[in-house]
Amino acid sequence: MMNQNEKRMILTSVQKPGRYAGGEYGQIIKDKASVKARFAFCFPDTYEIGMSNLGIRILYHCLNQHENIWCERVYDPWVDMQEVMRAHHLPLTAMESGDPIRDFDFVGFTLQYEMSYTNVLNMLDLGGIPLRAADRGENHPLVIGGGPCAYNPEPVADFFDLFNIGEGEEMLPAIVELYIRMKQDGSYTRAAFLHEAARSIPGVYVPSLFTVTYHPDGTVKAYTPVYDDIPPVVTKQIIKDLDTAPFPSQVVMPYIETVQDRITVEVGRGCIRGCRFCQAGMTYRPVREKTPDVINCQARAVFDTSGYEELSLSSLSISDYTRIDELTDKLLSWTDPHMVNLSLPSLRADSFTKELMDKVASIRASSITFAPEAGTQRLRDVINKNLYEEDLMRAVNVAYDAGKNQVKLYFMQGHPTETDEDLAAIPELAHRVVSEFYKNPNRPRSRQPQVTISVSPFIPKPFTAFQWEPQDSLEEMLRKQAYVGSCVRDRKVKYNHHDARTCRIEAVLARGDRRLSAVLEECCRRGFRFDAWSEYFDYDKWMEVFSATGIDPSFYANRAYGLDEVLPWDVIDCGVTKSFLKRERARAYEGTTTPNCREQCSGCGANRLGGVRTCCPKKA
Amino acid sequence: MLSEKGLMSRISKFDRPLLDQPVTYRVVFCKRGNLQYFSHLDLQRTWQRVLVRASIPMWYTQGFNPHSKIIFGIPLPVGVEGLGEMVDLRVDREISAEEMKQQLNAELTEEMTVSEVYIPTAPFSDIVWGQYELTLHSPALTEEAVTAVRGLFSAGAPPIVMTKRTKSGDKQVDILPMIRSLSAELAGDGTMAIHAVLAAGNAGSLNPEYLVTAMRERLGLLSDQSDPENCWYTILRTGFLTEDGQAFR
Repeated sequence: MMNQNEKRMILTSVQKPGRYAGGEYGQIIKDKASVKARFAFCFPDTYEIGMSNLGIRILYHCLNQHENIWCERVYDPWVDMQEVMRAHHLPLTAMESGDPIRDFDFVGFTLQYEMSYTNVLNMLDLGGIPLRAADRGENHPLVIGGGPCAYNPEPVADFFDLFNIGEGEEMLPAIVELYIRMKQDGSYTRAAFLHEAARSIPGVYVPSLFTVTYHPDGTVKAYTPVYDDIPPVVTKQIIKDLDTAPFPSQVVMPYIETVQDRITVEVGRGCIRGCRFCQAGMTYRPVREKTPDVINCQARAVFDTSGYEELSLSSLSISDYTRIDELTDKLLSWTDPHMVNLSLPSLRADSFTKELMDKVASIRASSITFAPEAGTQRLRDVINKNLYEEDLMRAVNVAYDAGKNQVKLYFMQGHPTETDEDLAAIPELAHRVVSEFYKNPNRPRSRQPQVTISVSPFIPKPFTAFQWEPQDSLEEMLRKQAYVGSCVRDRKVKYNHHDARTCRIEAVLARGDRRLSAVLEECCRRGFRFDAWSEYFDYDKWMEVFSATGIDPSFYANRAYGLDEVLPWDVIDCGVTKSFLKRERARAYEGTTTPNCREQCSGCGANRLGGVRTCCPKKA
Repeated sequence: MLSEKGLMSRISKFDRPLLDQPVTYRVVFCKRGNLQYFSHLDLQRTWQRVLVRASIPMWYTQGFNPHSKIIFGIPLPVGVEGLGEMVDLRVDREISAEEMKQQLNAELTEEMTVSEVYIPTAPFSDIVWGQYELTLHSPALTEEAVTAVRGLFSAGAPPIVMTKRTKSGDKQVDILPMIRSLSAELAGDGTMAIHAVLAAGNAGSLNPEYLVTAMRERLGLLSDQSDPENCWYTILRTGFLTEDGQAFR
């Protein structure tokens, strides 16, 4: 750890030194001599983004609850700081102790989005840790990965010693405890630990314990475990009862402004809807809810220890929470007198009511966001959005009645079966949302309506009904983006779109196999970092790396994967079965919708994982 | 799970009797160590939250968008530590100065603790000077360097014209009139201690960094910026003075 004087000289030479200072109220400091395992929890992006992540808040708490474990936070230094660190030979350190991460027992990475993979490697490199697991020795930290992208860990498999598949509250401390036990009884070696973890802790995936073979056409032939006492398929772990799951009442309070600087409490996990492109909707199943009293107590406890002025309820679809009215009443009874704003993200248009609007009316924002995802009813049925135009029009009228004049609408382009007619319908729908404003007698008369349409290219994701579908070629994505723009005929409609090139790389990494580790390693060697940031993403450089490593990106992004093909993520069981996804894919091509979980069980298979469920009619 | 703190028998602000008139308290606190890297804006946001979690009965403006009245003294530049920073708070319910100090300190880290709470008699606009202590370290710092520093900043010395960044663009400013007094001495091997009283108020402010820049540019001191381990400096603000040099309270 560098001394305070040196630290001052370093920090005053970079922008936003508050990112690196540490010393936050609420951080956990332990005596490093008296703990038995040290865990560096790395978020592969900036401090401002990482500090906003609820998952880290929870797991930081879970690990630190154990007397023998000290978990610290690590964020990716911004480009200017990285230059200073490399110039002065300063290694990547953890916030709490300032100790280099290479001296920790575990270095954990949360994999939140594919475009952060280059940051993962860059952070290992800054930390002085060999990139490949195979190159690490007994004295190097064990590098562990988890989070939403770990459901297809293969593109980064070579860099990780092990993965935590599923919800980490129980599994992650269990992994560290096994390590402590084996260190204490003298049975620890790196290899023995990895074998024992894979054998005895459900949800642990050790990539080096599986051999992958390929067909001549490049598709996967088989995953074969090296030992016969480890599960050949790793099953996602879930928290059975969310009400009793550990939840931190003390948040580490950032001094600098972060992206989501507020109280965040989950109301549940999973989504009843089953949109066919949505990965989170499948991988978080089975749907489990917390009870209103628990949510209320947790929110109040965080308020008391934080002083935050905003409370956000987190869920994949907040208005689907079965006891939303009861919950909001309970919360408002103390948030109102304490002048805390209640915010409800992820509102679905069809369950958005005046009653709900009245409760969140205290929010100053004049805009409201809905996600129809497709312009025509036909295509919305294909993707199983289960949303009708009447629902949307009713919802925007509720918003207009309440004085709002700005509506944001999220769409995707490139869904299977999409035609130009479906694309032209996106701006047309936006035009009708504008007209609806003028038809509404209660509209805010002093203001003009403003409808923003954001269109992002479809990215096929593992464990979705569309996991086999090809992404449009880059040329086709760009053509479609221009075409949608040409169909906008009203200045009150604003059109945004995501960067198609980034989405193409994301598709490659999302559906990639182990051979992509060579690509990422080369990216790291060439100094790639912050690829999720448009100012640092360079598509041409990615193409150069693909050609240098002999990997064809189209094989992963633009190929229709075979229905009977072994998929790179078949080594993971996320609850939802492949046969269900195949059924859903067939229904998509028929244009048939599937009822939501509350109406009728569609037999997705996630209930095999157990859990206290609230909305599944068939509680088998 | 409720936190222990949440269950603590701290008095809710709503249980305190309302005052006939809101009362303003002055809170004196330090901003040290890691907290020197946070800006004034960060400090303001932090205090809003500290006051809420400490359950201080803040008076709120009446209006469409009610907010509490928090007025800070003289902003502390990033990279400067402070011992006696000040903020004025207006409360509308009964709370003693001692209670306020205790409740605040329970919600702060040791790098930002409250040393004193009192009812102020002078407004922040009476502050004209800030007292600073600079500690410089470099193997090249000798008695000769100390003499050179004294000469550079002495009252009759030639003007020290420097480029000052302002909102309306760069300006050429002589910093010498903004130095009320400055003393320098050697404090051990290669370490120089400087006490300076510099303009800090509404009429004008001199960031103590300019002193270091002047010593670098004109005397070649601390020029080896490639070796932060052996070539460093720290700045501490210890207090404030009124126009005639009296300690401000």
